[in-house]
Amino acid sequence: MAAEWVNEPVEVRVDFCGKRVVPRAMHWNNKLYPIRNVNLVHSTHEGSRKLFFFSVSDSTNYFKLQLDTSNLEWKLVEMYAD
Amino acid sequence: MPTKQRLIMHVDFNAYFASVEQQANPFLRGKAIGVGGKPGHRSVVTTASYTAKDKGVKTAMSSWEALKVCPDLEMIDGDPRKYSEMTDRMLDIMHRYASHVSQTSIDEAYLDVTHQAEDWMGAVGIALQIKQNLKDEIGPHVTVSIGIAANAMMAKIAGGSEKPNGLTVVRPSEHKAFLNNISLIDIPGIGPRILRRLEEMGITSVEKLRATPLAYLTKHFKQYGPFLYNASRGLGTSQLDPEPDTPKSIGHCYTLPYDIYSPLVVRGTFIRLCERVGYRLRKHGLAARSFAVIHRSDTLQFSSQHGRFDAPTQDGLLFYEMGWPHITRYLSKYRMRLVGIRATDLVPAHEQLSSNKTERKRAQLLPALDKLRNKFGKNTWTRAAAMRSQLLERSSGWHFDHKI
Repeated sequence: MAAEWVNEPVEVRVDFCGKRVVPRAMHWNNKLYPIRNVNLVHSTHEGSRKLFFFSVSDSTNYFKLQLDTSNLEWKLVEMYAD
Repeated sequence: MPTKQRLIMHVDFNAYFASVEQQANPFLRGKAIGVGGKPGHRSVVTTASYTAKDKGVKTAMSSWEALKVCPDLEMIDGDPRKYSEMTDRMLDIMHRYASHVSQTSIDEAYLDVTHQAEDWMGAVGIALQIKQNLKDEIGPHVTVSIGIAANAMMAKIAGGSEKPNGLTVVRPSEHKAFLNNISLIDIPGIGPRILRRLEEMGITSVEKLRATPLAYLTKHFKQYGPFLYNASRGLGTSQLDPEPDTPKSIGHCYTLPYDIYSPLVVRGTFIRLCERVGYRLRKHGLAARSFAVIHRSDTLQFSSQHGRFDAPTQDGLLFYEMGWPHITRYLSKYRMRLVGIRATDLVPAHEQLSSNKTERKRAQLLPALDKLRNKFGKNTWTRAAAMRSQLLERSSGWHFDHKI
């Protein structure tokens, strides 16, 4: 299947490992998705805001999460299910 | 004292964008994927995964053509910002090991490791460290092929000989034997047209090319003759390009979402392209004396129209005003598939206040708008006439859109 554009706010539980933020679970649509792997992290600027993108997965889903460092809000940008 | 032999390394990402996507999304691994535009839209495959390549998908194939040869191909919407950061990470790794890194494209670079490596074994050690760093800092699914030789051309050929994730060393004593096992088309600088001419002359292998006298090659290929003569012997430059020169031209092209004959629809896109060219000229402190309007029709014919400004300019609006009549003329005859503008004949920009009040105001306004753009991003302002059009970021080309 193709990736599905979601772009909705989500709650994310994270661990702080030194200077790094590691997402551990995501709460979306009344469901808790434990995050098994953080596959890739990249960042970008939108004007003066810095956004981090976390490409994460559990056993059946891939999620792209966005963290906006200006307000510490998380968004589920896209998802892909096998 | 003889000059120390140089150790040049060529590093090339394997199926770059596709492997980054497979690193990010584990459910794409092992699948036939093509990175291009949005699924269902007109686009080209900028990178295909190795599985897709095995099924006949080639770079630059249109998405419909690729889906025809490989029906289970998954087209992935490219994410240029992600690739850009991976390129930066890779360059950062390379700079740890080389005195000189010369980036030649978004997924390819040469390194001069002569001093750091000291000998061939040292160079192999550096190559292995680069691969390990890449695995640790990006991920195991993004790999590179590395070639090591005494000059850039041989390093590139060596790197290309083993994909994916190869590491090939070719010492000068091995040049001829190594080249005898490759095709003429594998030599960088020999494209399909040169290849066809060589074959018409009966030169069908590197060995035959080597046996051809220099005078004969020069007679038929002019200044390209010595290159062919040297390439067949594995001779090439070991001096990497210095820091990028001042650009000779600055241009932008855009493939339209569908073939268009209406000037109203093309206008917004063309204005945005002109403004982008103007912004880059100002960023480089350059001004253009001439321009070229580029178009491609629905019959895939490229053409361009050239023009000259009265005085050097860096104002995107002037490019639009001068270029637009060419576009309208073109649209009266053809449907347009691609439109572009290129600033040429570049000279350093000099501040010279115009006696014309409107021009003077415009010249003061543009740097202020550039400051806004630099602070708040490229969509901070746009001309009203261009508001309805939008330029989607590309995953192809030499530069990433968000960096220019």
